Amino acid sequence: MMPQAINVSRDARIDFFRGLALVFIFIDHIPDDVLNDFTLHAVGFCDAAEVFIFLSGYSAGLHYGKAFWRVDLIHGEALLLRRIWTLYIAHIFVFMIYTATVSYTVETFHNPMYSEELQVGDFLTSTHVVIVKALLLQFQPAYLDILPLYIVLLALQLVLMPLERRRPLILLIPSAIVYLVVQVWDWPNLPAYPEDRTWYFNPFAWQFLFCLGVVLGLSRLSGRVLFPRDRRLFMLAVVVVAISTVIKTSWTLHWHFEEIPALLIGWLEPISKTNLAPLRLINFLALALMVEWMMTPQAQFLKMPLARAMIACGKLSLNIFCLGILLSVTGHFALVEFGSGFAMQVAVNGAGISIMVAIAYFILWFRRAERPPATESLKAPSAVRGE
Amino acid sequence: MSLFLRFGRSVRVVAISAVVLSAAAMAHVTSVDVDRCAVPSEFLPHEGGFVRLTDRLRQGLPVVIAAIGGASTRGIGPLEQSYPARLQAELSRRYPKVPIQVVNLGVARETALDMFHRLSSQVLSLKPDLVIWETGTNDAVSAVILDDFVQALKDGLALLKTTDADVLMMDMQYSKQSAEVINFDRYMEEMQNIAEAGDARLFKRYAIMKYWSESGAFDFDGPMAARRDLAAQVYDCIGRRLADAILVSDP
Repeated sequence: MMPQAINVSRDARIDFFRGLALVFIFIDHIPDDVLNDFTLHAVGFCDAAEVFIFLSGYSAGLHYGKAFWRVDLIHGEALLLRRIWTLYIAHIFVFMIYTATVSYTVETFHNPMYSEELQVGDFLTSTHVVIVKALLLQFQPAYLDILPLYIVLLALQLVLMPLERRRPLILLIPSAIVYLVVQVWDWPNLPAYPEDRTWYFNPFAWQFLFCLGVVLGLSRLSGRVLFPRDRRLFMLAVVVVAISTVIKTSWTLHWHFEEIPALLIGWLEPISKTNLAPLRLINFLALALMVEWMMTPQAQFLKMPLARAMIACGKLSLNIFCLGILLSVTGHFALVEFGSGFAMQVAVNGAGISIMVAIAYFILWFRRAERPPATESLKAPSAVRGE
Repeated sequence: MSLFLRFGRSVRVVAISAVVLSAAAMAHVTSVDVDRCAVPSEFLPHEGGFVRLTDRLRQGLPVVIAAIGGASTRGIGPLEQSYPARLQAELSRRYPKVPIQVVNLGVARETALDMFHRLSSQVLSLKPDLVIWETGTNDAVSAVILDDFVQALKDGLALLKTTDADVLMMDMQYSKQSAEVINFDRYMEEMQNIAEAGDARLFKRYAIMKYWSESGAFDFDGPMAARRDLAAQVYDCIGRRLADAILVSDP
């Protein structure tokens, strides 16, 4: 028998941190942005990508787990497929934006000072190949590497979800083994375009974090407790976060004030993001554990207007993610064209974040308005919306 | 030159500036007034760390500098307009009695790994007092796997460390439009980290050129006709700022 799924109310913390991660991703995607030094990666080995992928896994576990339990296997799979399709369409949309930018700036490559080194030529001379490669998720220029990862990880759940809902913890074992294999042998990874390239986010490594999220989401759904609230574990997490923060902050500061030494950098570098280096994973998990312990879903903090704005973004993570990329590209363009002085930086970042929040509120309002009020409760469980 | 550009990678021409170029020969090179490309001190390393080089300059011993890099090290047009030649001219101006030779080892379209393979054969054999390693552009442009890029830098620095040479890494060129299309960020961040971890100095060319672009000193995206002259002027400025960076502890 399937375990009885309990009714889980939406956990505002998930939406809050997902929203925050989206804002961080928007900021991090603008090169030379002053705010880059104030996002997670400035003070931790991990960055917003870990937060986004983990929480996406968590809400996938929660959301699709519900569908798998409440309705049936086929329905759950269909919902998953629909979501993957939506992500794919979103990826193609973002690719179009990229194409527009590159085509527009082709002029640069007639400048002898740059033409010899900037061979984006591939894109412009063999567009037919590149577009097909983009459709196959193999062409992943900057900004276009997170969605393909998300798509593959969710597709993996088509197979894993039916198994996970029964024995979630056991599935973490092969997942962890694959992760460890990647750490030791730096293999495997999916092929990318052009030849000899591989994915920037190695799905074989990142699947572990995503699966961890899914399993935790599922366990919350079934009311099973995977990790007992052990004070020693919490203290360990605090220590890990504290040490990581001190080290990484010293690196960030070092780039601005050379007198401040970049602690232990000779020992710790390189830290692979592609393979989700253990240092990044451990830092993130410790952070997640610490936050989960210290902040309840009912925390007063989450009712503040700014927090609610982040929650709105987090609820609509895919829309706001794509919007964020569009805004990063536009914002970067504005900074390059009109100067990157302090006032411009404030304007670009402020405008970008405001637009993200405004659009999130607008879509939420629109969804509420669209939904017929009375009939909803009578509907079949297919009304499990909310993702 | 044109042949060299056309065949790019396939023809492994290594351009080596011959001998010490006399000051007279340099006279025809476009010169820019000094203030135009001055940069605030925060763009240059605070401490030199170029112990060997500055010692030799002070003692008047001959100095050999190897500049390995890509297309922007090779330069466009005559070799004496490239930044290594301009660096040599600037150092010679400041130390007129010291024989100074800057060898240009720029080859277009090379990745950090390609350059790493040239280190032992072409750089170490010169027994340089300073190695300038300009890299990262082609890696970012052709999206070389980031971890491979990092490994090449790491291996390269480790190899250079086995010699007595001081090392100065140099990052990418900046222009508004290239910045719009290519994401240098990840590669630049890794270069910073690896330089720091390998105890090498970094010449922040990208930041410096961005400063020039924004302060109006240069317009890298200006009219087509002006671009060849522009390159000569920019390389000249880079050469002089490099001299500042190298001599930072020895004004």
